[in-house]
Amino acid sequence: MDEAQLGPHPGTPAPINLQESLQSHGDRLLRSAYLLCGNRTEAQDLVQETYLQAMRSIGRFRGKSAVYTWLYGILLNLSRRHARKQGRLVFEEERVLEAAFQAPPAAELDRSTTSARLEMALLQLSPAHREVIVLRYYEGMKIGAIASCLGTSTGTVKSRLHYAIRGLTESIPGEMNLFTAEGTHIKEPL
Amino acid sequence: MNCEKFQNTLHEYLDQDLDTGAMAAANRHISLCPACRSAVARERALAQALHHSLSEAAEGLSMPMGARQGIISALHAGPSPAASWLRDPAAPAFRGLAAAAAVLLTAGLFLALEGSRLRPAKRALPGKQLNHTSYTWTVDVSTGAPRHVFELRGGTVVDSIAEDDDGAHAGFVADPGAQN
Repeated sequence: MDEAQLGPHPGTPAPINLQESLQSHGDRLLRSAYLLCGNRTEAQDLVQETYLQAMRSIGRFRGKSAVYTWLYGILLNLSRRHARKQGRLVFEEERVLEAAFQAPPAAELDRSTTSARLEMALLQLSPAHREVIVLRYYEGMKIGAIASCLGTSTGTVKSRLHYAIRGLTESIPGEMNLFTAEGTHIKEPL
Repeated sequence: MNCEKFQNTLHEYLDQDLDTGAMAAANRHISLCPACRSAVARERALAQALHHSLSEAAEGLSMPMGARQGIISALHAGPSPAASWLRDPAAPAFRGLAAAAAVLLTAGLFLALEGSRLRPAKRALPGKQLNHTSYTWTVDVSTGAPRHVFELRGGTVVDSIAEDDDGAHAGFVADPGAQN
């Protein structure tokens, strides 16, 4: 039987097809990985290792969560391990400083200043704070789901979100109005 | 519900993860409290702005065909524990192997040094004095260290420095005769 189509257990609802998952979730995982680590090549490596580890541990998947959530959990663990290996705090600080003093690459010229600054500000956060920002505001996960994914309490998630937002606010100039309702076109629906 | 309790459950309110009673209480509260209503608006605006900016930051990223094919090939090939620990130097198997290699290397060096001391004594004929028997190891180092040569002269170990042409070797002479 093809390893890419192995099911977790004989009694489980549906076998996981990792190859199909790669087609449907691969790019989404890659973008999240990029936001978590800030480097395209490393993000590709993380996604690749995510699928390889998923294949090795497919027998432990119980089907209680969606396949994407399960893969995302693996990606988060790998991302944390990677950050620890790299001595990420010093490295990122250097990278952010480099980015701040370098002209933006041609590919980024058409990107809005807000996104570019947010990307750099995100890299200045600790990995734990960056995780909750990406999970909450990029992936759009609920607080309970984030807590479950990270193996922590909802209180911890909300606390990390609070400090992460504070960190972003301090890093991004106020005139960009990213963090004020007035700076968007959103009308209060209530 | 008061402001403090509402603020504590703001995220759950936005996620609609409150039970029916709590949701009704929260809706009643924000209908009467402009500050909490504003907090809800700020959080919604923040969520939308951040989602937009983060999506823009990661926009256009996709797995290259080569990387995608590499994953698919690996998935079809099946799990490979050997490849796994080779890829990860922090893996327990890798650490164990490295430790074993270090022990073997240390033991080998120890035996080589001890063996070089003992061999001449074992081979010596009774009553024969070993004089000026020496073994030299030269160790390449990247520094410009001078070469040290130790010699036995009339029962005295003499340390002399012999400069090489490039001055880039350090060496020493073991004198098993001095042990006898």
